[in-house]
Amino acid sequence: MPGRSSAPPSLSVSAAAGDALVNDAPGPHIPTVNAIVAASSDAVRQQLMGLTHRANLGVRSIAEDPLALATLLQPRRSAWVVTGGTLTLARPFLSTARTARAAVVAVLSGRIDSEERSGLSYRGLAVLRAVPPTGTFHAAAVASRAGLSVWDPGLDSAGAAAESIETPLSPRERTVVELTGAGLSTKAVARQLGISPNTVKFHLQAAFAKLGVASRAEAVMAAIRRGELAV
Amino acid sequence: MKSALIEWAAARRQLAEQAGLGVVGMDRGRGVRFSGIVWDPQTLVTAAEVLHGADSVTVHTAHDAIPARILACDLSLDIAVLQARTGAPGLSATTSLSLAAGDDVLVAGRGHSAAAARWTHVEQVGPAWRSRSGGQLDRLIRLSPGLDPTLEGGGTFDLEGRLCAMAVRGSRHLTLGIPCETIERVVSVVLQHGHLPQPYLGVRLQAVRLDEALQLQLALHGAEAVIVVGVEPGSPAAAAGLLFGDLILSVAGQAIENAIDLKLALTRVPLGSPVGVEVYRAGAKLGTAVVVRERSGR
Repeated sequence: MPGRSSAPPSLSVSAAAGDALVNDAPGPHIPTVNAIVAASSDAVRQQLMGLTHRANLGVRSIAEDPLALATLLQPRRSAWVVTGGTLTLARPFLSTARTARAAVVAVLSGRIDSEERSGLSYRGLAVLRAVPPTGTFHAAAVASRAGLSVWDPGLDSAGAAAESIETPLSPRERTVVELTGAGLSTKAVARQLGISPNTVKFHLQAAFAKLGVASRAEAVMAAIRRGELAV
Repeated sequence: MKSALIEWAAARRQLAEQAGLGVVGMDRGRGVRFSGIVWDPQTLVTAAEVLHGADSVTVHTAHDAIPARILACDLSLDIAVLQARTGAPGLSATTSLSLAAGDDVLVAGRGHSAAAARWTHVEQVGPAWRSRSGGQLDRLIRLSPGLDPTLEGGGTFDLEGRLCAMAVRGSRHLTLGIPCETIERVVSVVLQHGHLPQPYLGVRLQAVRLDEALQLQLALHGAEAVIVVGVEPGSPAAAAGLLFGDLILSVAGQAIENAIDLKLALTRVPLGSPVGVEVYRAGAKLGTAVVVRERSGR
């Protein structure tokens, strides 16, 4: 959606009261409510309110009650819901918003593993890492409104990037990379280690995956750079 | 006009036929075919990465299929040196100095029982450079992208029919020319020793960034340095008393800023005789000597 994402939504800012139920009936003092801020604690809500204000969104806040959110969402399905906190705390709000098919920007702290992530993704959900820059928040809000999914890679705990940087080579993989780097053929490496050529290839492939490389030469250099292999 | 065109085409064909005499086809089994260059009557060269850890290859000439033994594989330069009696005379004139960006060059090799060749262009020529895999090449030669796998390891010839480089596939789909000066360097070492000696110091390293005060104190040009995170027992580094936590500043007078610097510096020092090493340890510069030796395990 290049056209939409380039222009930040020009929305009116409205006052947000601490208690959502007080503001439930739209009065003259709240002309438009474009976003509903649902949060599991006062501190998180304060943070999210700051974010939505900076992003120039009209906001309505709601605290600690998924049912109240459901009530608010029923008549306006097009509303944004901004929710935050840890995934555990935000989950009730997320499922409520999902049922109502509202666009959601979730500003979550902590890390999320891949299993939780697969359970989370649906159209119109943007998941961002704690307190993103206003521009990022804006872009995510627009994208979620357009029915797209947004995922902040910074939230991946055991994601691919983290794995390739941090998983150390096994002693066998290290030896295989070292001997390969010395110019030995697969068979020669196998002979020296008393294993089969296929096992050598297996260890080498595993090392390639961990080091994030595609060739023997790159594997040797990556292992040296990571301090796994002696010069 | 027509005759000029025909003359031009005939000259090109003659050049391709001539170049075809200096190259061979190779396979490492399972139908994987690539090319090689006849360096001298007993020596062939090809790309190292394409061998994929093979032990031996079959060499295909116009008349014959013969086995070849792999003498050495330098992955950082992507050069493999092989031994086989092809009966071909080998190349006489080699230089990469003649190349300039935009030149027409011929990449020649051998496919399935037939000569293979492709006219292509030199896209870029530059000074000596360091490959991502830590090899020092005498000249940067970039050819037009999209090298046929069959031609990998083949010779790149200029319009005078001189071998300039070996064509290899680099990272990011680039086609590179490994300059013949670099090949010559590797081949002469291999022919002298029978293999490619791998210098070995025995330190595991990690990159560190130095703050400005320390850079000034140590009179360093850059903020990058390497710190020793492991000394292998029984290694030259252990014998020289290098310790965990030492910053290696220079080897044989060559400044070391990263692991590749050290790897390359080691390839330039004589094996078996002491060379000076400068380290930063416990707040002070310290000079010592190491005797770099060949990596064992061959």
